[in-house]
Amino acid sequence: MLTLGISTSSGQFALVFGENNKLLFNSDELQFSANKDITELMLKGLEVTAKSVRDISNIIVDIGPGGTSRVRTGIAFANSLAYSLGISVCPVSSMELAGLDAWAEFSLPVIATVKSIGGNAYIGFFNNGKLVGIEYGNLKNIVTKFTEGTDEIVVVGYHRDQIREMFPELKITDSGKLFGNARILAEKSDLFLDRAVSFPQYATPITEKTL
Amino acid sequence: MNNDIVLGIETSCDDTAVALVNSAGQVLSSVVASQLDIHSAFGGIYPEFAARAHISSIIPTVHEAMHRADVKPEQLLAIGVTRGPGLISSLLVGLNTAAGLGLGWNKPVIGINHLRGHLRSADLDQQRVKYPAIILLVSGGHTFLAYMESTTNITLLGSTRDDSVGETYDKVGRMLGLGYPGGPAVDKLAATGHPTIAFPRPLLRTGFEFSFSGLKSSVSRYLDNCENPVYEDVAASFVQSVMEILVKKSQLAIKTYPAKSFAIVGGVAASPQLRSAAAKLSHDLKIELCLPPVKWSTDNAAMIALATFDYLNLSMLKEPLPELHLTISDF
Ligand SMILES: [Zn+2]
Repeated sequence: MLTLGISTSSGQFALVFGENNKLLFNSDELQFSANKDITELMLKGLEVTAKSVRDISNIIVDIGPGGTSRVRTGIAFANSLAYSLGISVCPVSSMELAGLDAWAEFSLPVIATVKSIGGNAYIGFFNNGKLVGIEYGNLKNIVTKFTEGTDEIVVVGYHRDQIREMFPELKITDSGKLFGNARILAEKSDLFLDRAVSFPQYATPITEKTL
Repeated sequence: MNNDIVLGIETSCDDTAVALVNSAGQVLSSVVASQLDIHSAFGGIYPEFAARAHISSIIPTVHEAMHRADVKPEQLLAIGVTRGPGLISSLLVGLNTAAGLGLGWNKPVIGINHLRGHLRSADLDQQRVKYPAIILLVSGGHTFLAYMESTTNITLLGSTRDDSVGETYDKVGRMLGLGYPGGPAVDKLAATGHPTIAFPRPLLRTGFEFSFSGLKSSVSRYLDNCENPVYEDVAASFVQSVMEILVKKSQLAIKTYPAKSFAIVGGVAASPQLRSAAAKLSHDLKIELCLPPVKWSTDNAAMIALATFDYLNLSMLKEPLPELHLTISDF
């Protein structure tokens, strides 16, 4: 059960391999010059783990929100690899990835954000080990809505400082992170398997239109 | 099992195209998911929406192409994919899809220059071009004349310094309220008018280079200043100007280079006015005219697949990474 995880919401592509919820390879931990393409990272991962492409039984892919080109690149690769191997692909939002990562460390409700155009943002809320929701729009309004009845949160993403200034009444912990670590895709792969889709279904990016 | 089939993928602009072609140029399948409906609402191509549409249509398009041709992945020799020039966000979808397929099917993936695809499009389905040849590429993205000594030995004679012919047609179409894409509508309207207005013919007698922005501005100025413009006559005068430029430059190329045939490719090759002007020119200069069917003239993946064989024959195994500014001299 070799799982391939592809994260595209961080500053660069991150590719992980895992087996039975155990991380075998994380491209983020390699000393690479920047901007390696996915194929190169993948071949490196297979070499390090001594596996072949045919060993991959499942692909977990980050469907954003994040840098639109990078998210699409990861999804295009994941979909076509899954199609050509005849296996399924599990879409995971970058918000869930960030939430799982921060929850594992702080055990607190998580607000994760991604910057968008026109002063808008993508805001995700993660609580009790689960993604509660993702919305697109005005930061203040959406964070207010998500945190109703909550007095303590941890923040991940681009707007961490802004949220702390906006909500002085909330106890806010800064995760210090812009996004979740891709290793979660390998270490928690069981969590994502029930959403696996295979051709004619495939993964599509989260955009303001799909929310 | 004969491994002489290439899977071509083309996503440089607004159409998602996948095709299967064999080494003889026979097209086993060619599937195009058009985005015309998406972009006509904007009066032009909106890159973000183009990329979104590519990501949702590419896998079904690959599947459909394989299914229609009844080809199994084992029968493929290679995968050829457009790596540029084009819109980066659109190219990335095709390139990474090709990379995933190549790994899964264990097939080489080669990044193809879109322009080389266009130049080979006249030989799809049947060998039409006799080499050496003069090729005129006229499309929404490109306008140039090239001398092809063989399928791979290509010299650029001249290209446009500013707008392409297709772009100019679209912009004039918009000025005349004809919607997007404007090209076919401008030609249609022109056929009902008279070329009574003396629009300029930029660079007409200056070598092989083209320029269309002055012509476009001149049409715009005329429409701004004329109280009751007759749109049919504006269209007819504009088209006459474009045709004279294209014919004069082609004539010079044919007279300068020892060519056996003259081919016109690209979306504007569908223009009835251009087709008849080219027929007359070829007849006068006694050169064979090659006009591929319109479906191979507009962007398609079969031309990319055919060009892939050229790359394979020359062992030009270009990586499938985006390169936005390729010229015709590049592989
Ligand atoms: Zn083209």
